Amino acid sequence: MPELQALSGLDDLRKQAEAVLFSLGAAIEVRRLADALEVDLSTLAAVLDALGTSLEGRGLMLQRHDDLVQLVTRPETATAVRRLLNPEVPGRLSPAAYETMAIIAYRQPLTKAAIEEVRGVDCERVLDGLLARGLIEERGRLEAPGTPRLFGTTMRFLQLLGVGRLEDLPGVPEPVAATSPGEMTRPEGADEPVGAERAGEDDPD
Amino acid sequence: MSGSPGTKAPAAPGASSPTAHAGVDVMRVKTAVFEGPVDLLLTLALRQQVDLSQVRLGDLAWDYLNSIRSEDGGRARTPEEMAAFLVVASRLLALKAAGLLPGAAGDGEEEDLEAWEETVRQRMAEYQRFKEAATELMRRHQEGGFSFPSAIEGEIVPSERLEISRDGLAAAFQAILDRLPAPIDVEVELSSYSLADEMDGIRARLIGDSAVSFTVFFEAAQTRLHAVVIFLALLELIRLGEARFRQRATFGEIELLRGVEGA
Repeated sequence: MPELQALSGLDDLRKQAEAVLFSLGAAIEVRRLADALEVDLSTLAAVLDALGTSLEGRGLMLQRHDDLVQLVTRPETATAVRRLLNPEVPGRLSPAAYETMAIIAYRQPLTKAAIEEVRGVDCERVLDGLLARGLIEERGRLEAPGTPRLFGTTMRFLQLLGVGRLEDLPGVPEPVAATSPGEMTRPEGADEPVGAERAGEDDPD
Repeated sequence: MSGSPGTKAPAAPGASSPTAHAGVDVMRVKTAVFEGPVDLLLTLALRQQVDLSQVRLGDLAWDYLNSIRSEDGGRARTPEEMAAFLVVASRLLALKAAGLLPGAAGDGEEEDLEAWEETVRQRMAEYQRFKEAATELMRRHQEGGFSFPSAIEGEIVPSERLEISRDGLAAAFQAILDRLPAPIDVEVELSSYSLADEMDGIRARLIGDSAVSFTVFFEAAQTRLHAVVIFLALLELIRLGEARFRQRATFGEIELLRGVEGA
């Protein structure tokens, strides 16, 4: 696919991306990262995949959510990092909070009403709590009467669970009536290291 | 997965399914043919596993009204709970009416009910899947395999070491400030108090496992500035993990303890 020149430059671009993400120390929109590297988005996708692959077996990994990308520590290193820096880490949440997060994670973006339709109870307080903890965020508004807020998960949500992308979470199958209730299918590689099966431009980014 | 609004559960009319109220304490029914939560009655009736013609819905409605009025029903029902009952009860009524008029109930009606039953079943299954997903999220979270960005935003006072609400802590400190004379003539003595000294003083008091009352630390404070420095010293010790706050009961005494290793 990419011409030879791009292929030879990929290694350089990967290093540049790593350097930018490292020095930034925060999430950045892929658009801005592409500008910094002076490449287009599809090239950047290949660069990020290369970076993700090169980070395998290291203490760092890429975290990607929506149009954001960030360099983070791997979950298996968490103990040492915590011992030294004692970063803020949310404590145990309520069952309602995990339930609400799960619904948002797998169906985002969605409205409070849509969440309550699944849970069957009022979710106002749970949502407020999750918003305050930065685990979910507002993602614009639905174009419907009342223009209700839409909610989605955040990078912080991924960091809480130590996963690189939403896709690395065990899957909730699409709502199909045929599957028996309670039967959870785990996508292949759900427990494998992030990026192990990444095959190229599977990322819509 | 992100940006896939198409997978969202459709906002069907009559969206409130009986199972959707699983978290709500719904009314329990006691009849000759069925005993249990009223929404289960509806589900079974839909599956034709309970003969609704044997259930007096009028009695059921009266029972509900009585339970609302009764003293031991005590706790105030929320509008949502009452609405939940109304939805279930009206579905039961519609179902029973349809059963009483087999000829009159058009095919369309039956199809509607079937479609609705199907929706109910799907919702149940969907909710179950999310419950399990939630359990998995909880498991992962509890494992503690967090990933951190490179510029960690350390919390100034980690909430884990505050076993009380921040507001409660703020209110307790405000009470101490209120007790001290208001600053009328301000004399600036910037170097009078040292954070390090106050921290050392607090450390000296936190020997062993004993808990020290929050207010005790401020006994020496004669000025608001001094109280502020002591309070900052407390917070700093908590930030460093050397101490933690505890409040055993609501409105109870706030106490300071030595920090727990690895907490």
